[in-house]
Amino acid sequence: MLPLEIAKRFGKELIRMRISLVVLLALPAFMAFMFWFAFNSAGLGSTETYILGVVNEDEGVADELAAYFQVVNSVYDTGISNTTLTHGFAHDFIQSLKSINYTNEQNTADNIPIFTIEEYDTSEIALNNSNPNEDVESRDIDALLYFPRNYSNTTLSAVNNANFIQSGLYLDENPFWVGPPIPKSDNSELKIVGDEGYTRYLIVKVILSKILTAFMENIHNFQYSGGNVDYEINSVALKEYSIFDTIMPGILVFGILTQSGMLAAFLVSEFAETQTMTRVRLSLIKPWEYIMGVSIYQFIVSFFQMGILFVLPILLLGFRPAGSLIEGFLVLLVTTVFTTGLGFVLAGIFTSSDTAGQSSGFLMTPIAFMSGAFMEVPTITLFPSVIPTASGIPRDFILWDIIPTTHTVNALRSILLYEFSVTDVWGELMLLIIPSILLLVFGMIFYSKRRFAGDI
Amino acid sequence: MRKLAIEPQYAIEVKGLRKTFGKGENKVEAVRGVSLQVRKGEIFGFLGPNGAGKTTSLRMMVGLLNPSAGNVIILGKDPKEKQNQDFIKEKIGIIPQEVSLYLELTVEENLWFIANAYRVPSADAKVTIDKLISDMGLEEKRKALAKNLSGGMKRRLNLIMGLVHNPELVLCDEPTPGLDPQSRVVVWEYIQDLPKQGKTVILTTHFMEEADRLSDRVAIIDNGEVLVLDSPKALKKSVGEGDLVEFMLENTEKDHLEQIASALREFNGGKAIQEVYISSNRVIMRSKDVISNLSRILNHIEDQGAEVENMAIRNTTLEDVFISLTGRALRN
Repeated sequence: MLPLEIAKRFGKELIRMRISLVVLLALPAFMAFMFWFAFNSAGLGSTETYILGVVNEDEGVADELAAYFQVVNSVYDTGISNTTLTHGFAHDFIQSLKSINYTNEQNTADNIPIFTIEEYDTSEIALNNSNPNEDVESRDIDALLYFPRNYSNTTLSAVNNANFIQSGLYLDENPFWVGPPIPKSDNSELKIVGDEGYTRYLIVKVILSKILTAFMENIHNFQYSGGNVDYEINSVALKEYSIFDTIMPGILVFGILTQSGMLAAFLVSEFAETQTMTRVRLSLIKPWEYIMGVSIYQFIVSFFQMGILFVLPILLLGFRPAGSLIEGFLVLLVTTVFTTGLGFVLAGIFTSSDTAGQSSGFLMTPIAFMSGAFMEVPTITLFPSVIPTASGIPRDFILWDIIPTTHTVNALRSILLYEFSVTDVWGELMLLIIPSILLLVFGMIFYSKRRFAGDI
Repeated sequence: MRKLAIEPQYAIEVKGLRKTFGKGENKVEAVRGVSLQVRKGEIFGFLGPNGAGKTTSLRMMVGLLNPSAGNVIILGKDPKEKQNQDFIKEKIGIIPQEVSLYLELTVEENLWFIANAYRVPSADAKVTIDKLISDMGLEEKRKALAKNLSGGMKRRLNLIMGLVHNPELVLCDEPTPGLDPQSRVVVWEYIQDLPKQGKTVILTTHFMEEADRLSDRVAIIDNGEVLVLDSPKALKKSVGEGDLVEFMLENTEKDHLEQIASALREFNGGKAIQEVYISSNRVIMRSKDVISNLSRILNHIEDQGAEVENMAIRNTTLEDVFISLTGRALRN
């Protein structure tokens, strides 16, 4: 099998070229150590109180429904907010958010609130006297939670639909039902708005998604008569992370990005310096065999590089992600498709391995930064609320989303730090995989055209 | 009726081969209509100075460069036709001018990789690799990394890398620059031996001694054009008969050299000396009867106010052929 022979040859060369091994392994490990040194002691996320802006346009439920519930279920929410259903579900949810505190096994932070709620008056917004989006951009608030006008109706219809799924009947189709009709379908969009490059926003989003999940589970228990809508969500357990922990997924991405430059330098060297490409082209090796061999080599290198980059911080730097290491590892391996594609493109462009190495170094660092690997980057929204997220609430497609590694960073953070599974981050994964495959195919064709055809 | 396969007479046939690089003002015509035929089983030399178009022609012949115009037929087949390409690749072995080795692989690993690249069966590859390593005196270095070999050893490995798949047609592009005399002789003898193994060799070189010693026929190329093509013997004969005498003169300006050359042309009424020319501060003359005229010629030079620092009598070389064709030396 020629591709395997080619992969073997590249592997031997890599192992024997110590400087390449240093770049592949030691550089990302060094970066990890540097960030650990700088940020290890800076705690994050364990007992922080986050500023959550809220815009509530919820109009509540229809009067006749409200009246019905007040009659039938007059103590509907007395345990929580002393408000009535006429205030709507959004109002109740906001009250719940105000009362949620941390419970943390590692310290005594039981009475520290998770959120400080900054409520925006919709009439003030209409008059342009306040602008919550500006506050998000200036990071005066960590995130903005937006309840639309028909939020309560939607919630009720969700309850109704859930009942239909469970019993085959909508609530108001029950023979004992004496109230007005309940909405059977309604759509609204609860939005969490924030700066995707802002770590505090990412944490808020995760916390909110956990709370929302619990809220919806509880609200589904709403009974058509006599029951309570019960918000038993007054504690959220979060693992304690340092800033270093939150950066670590980015460092893993930076590590894998170094492979593109290394691959490009290897391939260009074969073309320009050792000129062994002449031998390859004159031999019976087909372009696809060569490219496949290189890809196999690259995949194996990634496997080991990622393994080492995972193990070292865990063993030496105290990186303890709560999520699945295996799933995180898989996400990184998928990213190899992108780095390999990029490597082929660079190898097709450059004609000296020095230039290839230097230029890819010049390119990879901004890619890592723009992907949010090391720190938050400014949000430049291109398409609002289109990317499915682990929280279940679509997020904006921002400029940096065109870089596949942005999604690696997001998916890794969600999986490793906040215990989501790969299925939860499928939106991010699709935005990683699809462009990466396209780039790989383009890179292979481009490289093949540039180095296996035409003058050499 | 059974079709008879006609064995092609030529290993390579080239017609009107041209290569142009660049556009507009930067346009360079590297090869200008080269046409030639290389017979099977011969060593065919391409002799010319650096930049004459030898390597470019060779690269076009094997498909590493696309010709701007012209045709190449290799072993009776057109390499432009896709179905011929693997056949041609199997039959051609190239020994590139630049040492192109996998520096991080051992000698043996380099050869095995190439054997695999040509899909040589393992048993055959083993026999061939052992023989090639032995022929080139690299047995002790078979496990050494290519990067740790001496320059001469690298060149020898570079040579046998092109032969692992037992090609019918071997293209040697400047196989010996930078080699120590001992390694050069080893390489020369090896190349000379290749036709005995049924191989055809095309050799590009700017060493006239190499072309003269190894080639059955030589094409002298300059500025992308073949100036002349014949056997080295015939080429040398074409320049003229007799021996050549080179005079190295002390502290002599170019004008003075011209004056001496003119005086020699007139020596003995122009009958004794067939040809006189200047090359690199030397005056070179050809005479059918050097020995009997030598002392008089020396006196004649001294009469021109010059002092002979050194003198050498030699046979005609291909360099003299090149000089007679272009008016300048190969090394210039």
